[in-house]
Amino acid sequence: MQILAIDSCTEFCSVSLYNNGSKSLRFIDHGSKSSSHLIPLCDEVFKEQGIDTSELDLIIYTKGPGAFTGVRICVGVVQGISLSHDIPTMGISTLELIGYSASLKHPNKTILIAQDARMSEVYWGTYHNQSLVNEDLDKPTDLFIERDELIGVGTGFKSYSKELHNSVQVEKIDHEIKPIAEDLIDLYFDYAKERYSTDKDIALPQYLRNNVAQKSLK
Amino acid sequence: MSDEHITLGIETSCDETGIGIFSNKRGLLAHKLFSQVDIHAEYGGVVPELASRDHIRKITPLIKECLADINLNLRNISGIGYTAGPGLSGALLVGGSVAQSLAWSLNIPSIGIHHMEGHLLSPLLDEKNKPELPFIALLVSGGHTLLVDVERIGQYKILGESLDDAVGEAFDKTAKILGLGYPGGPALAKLAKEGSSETYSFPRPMIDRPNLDFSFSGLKTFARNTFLDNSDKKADIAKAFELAAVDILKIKCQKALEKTGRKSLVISGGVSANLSLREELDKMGEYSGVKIFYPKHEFCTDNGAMIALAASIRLSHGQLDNHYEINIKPRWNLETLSAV
Repeated sequence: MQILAIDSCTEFCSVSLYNNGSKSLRFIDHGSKSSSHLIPLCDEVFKEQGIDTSELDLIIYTKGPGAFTGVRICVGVVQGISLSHDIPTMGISTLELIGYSASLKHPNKTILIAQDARMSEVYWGTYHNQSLVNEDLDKPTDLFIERDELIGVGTGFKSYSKELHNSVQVEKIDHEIKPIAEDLIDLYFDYAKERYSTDKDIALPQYLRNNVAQKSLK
Repeated sequence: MSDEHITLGIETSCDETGIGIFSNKRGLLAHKLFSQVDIHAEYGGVVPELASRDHIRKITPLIKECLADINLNLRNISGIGYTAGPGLSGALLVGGSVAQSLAWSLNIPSIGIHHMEGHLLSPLLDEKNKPELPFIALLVSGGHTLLVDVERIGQYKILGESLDDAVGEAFDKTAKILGLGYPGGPALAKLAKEGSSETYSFPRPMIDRPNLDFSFSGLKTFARNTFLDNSDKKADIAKAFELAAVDILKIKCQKALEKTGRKSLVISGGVSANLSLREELDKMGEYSGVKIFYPKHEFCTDNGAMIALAASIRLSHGQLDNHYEINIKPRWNLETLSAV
């Protein structure tokens, strides 16, 4: 089985190619410019594995939430590759990927993921037992979680450390966890393969922030 | 057909998702357009984030429909062109990412096209009435007003441009002042037909200057001030505005032709669909012995066909992007393009 995994929804951008048990990974951390290099990264993993996109069985990708530009480049690239050889796609929440990665390091803990969404807000959710719940966009001071012993991950804990400290009880903050495409492949085999279906029609973004335009008062 | 190269063109620079398929042997094979006008109308102008969000929903289905209409599949496509700029960055990135990934995965060349080069070449889509090089091009739309000397494809010299509002923008803003909705340029032109040319005479900014630059914001302000005092004279104001705008464009075209000695004039962009402008320029062409060319009506506004055509020409001359990187140019000077 051949699976391409792509994530460029944060400033860290990565691709991974699974080829019958063998995996290749490439990533880049050039801030907001990272996602423009997405295709050369794809090219490298395919060359390393010696296969062609026409052999792909699936493209798994992060659909957001995240920086709008990164999310759309990710989805745009997935649409293009999928269209080229009619390859099925599966979108996974960026927060679910981060939660999954954190759960590998902190097993049996509930993970609180808070990603900086700018405009004094965070994309957040909690991840436990292979499930993401409470996925939402809120002010960091407005988060309400009943669970204790949370592990806090995500860029929100850097940008809004004081606000989050006031609203949630966190046992530990792990700043090391970043979304990485390689984990998307593990997530797929661990449970997404059984639990999620592929995209119905085309790969599409998930934004969470939808109040993006103001109507003219005139 | 031997030596046939079929190029897919993708346009997403503003509020239209356009797809075109062009053959170097058979001309334009198909094109499809999805306009976002209804999405932006309630905001009174294009909302960039909403534009990007809609492009990503429409682009792939439109490519599929376009191919299906002519019973082609992607294996028949030998190159892809996309609008790399100028335009809204988020919107350009959608076209750029789909185009580059598709081209990379199909292992075919891709090229980023200058949106205004697409417009400038759009009259070449008319197989029966193609302009011959060299020519002067007047590019008039909601985002641009440019007079360009086209020595050959890719070698462009900007002779003049608007120092403030684009002429299409002035049409739309004046229409908004008159309560004609968004985008109101065509509605203003329609209303102008009912107006009298005798009631008002609007100024023609910069026509006495020796250069070929334009200014339209003063004309729009003049329309607003006239409307404030005479709100029952909408049609007459629309008429006076249109007459002035068309006159300015005609005078500057005439000067550009005299200055360069060119004998052909190409007019393209959304405002080139304006019938009064066409009438006046046709008259000018008749008495000055200049041939006037317009794109077909459907190619006046943004479209994928013109991008497919421009990409087909450039790819056939060996020009292409390297490494399939997604590099868009929201600001891009037309004069910096490489000649074909």
